[in-house]
Amino acid sequence: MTDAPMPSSPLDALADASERDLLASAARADADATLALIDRYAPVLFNLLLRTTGLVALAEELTRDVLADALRQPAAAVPPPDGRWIVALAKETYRRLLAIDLRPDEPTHRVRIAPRYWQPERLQTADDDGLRPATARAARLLRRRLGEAWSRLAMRQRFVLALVEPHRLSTDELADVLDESEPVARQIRDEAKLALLLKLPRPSDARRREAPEARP
Amino acid sequence: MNRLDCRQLLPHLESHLRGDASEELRLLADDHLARCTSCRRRLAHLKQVTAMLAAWRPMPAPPGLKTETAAALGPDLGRLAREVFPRRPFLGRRRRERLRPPAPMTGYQRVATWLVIAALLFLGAAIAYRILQQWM
Repeated sequence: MTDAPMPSSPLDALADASERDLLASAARADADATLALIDRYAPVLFNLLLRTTGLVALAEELTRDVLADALRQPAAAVPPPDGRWIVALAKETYRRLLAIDLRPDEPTHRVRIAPRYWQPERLQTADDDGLRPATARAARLLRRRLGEAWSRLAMRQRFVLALVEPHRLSTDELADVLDESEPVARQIRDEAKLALLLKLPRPSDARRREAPEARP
Repeated sequence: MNRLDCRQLLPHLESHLRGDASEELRLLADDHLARCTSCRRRLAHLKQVTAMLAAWRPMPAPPGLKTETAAALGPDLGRLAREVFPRRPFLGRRRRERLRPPAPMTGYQRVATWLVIAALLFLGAAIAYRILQQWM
């Protein structure tokens, strides 16, 4: 007698499906494809909004609204041949963020925020193993300060960085999301990264503080 | 060819790192970076921060978010979503415990706390009195 196979989730069968196929199936009212899209994009949008606003309830509400509205007309949501759905979702998310009372150019630490959600987890990258002790110490210091610096960025800067870095958005995709020209979008991205960089201690400062005897 | 100074290069470091700066700017930046240790260090710092942001581990979506999103599209999809999406806790156990506010004290606990404080004060006063007696 052979063991009966475990009943698998309908989403398992769609784990490798491309987003374009899923959107096309969702447009034909395929419930499994719709659920697979929700499964794939709800965490993505939630994290983008959480890192932008620092507000769990707001992130949850906007994720639900943006995703549900996009999936009500999946045929219209299918991106162009060289496009990605995350761009369309982020564009709508940004439009809604601007519509609520979060000013894009002002730091949002005036509203109630939860900076603990902005503490980046300790990174376990292959690079870490090869770091010299002083560099590793500086990296640890940097990680500790990153959450604090992040909370002092303006809302739009956080949105741009939270979108561009994990999803590797190109400049034209970012321009589409922000509804700006490409040079302006590039400038906004560069300014956001520079603002974050300037709010962090420089590795040389950290090294100097940690190893004063090394100085002449 | 004009040369960039550190302040001129700074706003373009990110574009230089991503390789989407113009050819002219790239040459000027390379020229400056070859001469300036401070800017090379800053570029390395920028790379490090970029890598950290790219590797920032996402939080799990709150339980119920996927189901609620599906339910917003129709009751049938909501019912199906409740079967498909497992309800995992939003945060890990240790994080949940850290975020939970301390439970309020019961009446007995409050009385016991004040009794302990009073006993410690009395003990302290008694010791101080004995010490003062020995000195005088």
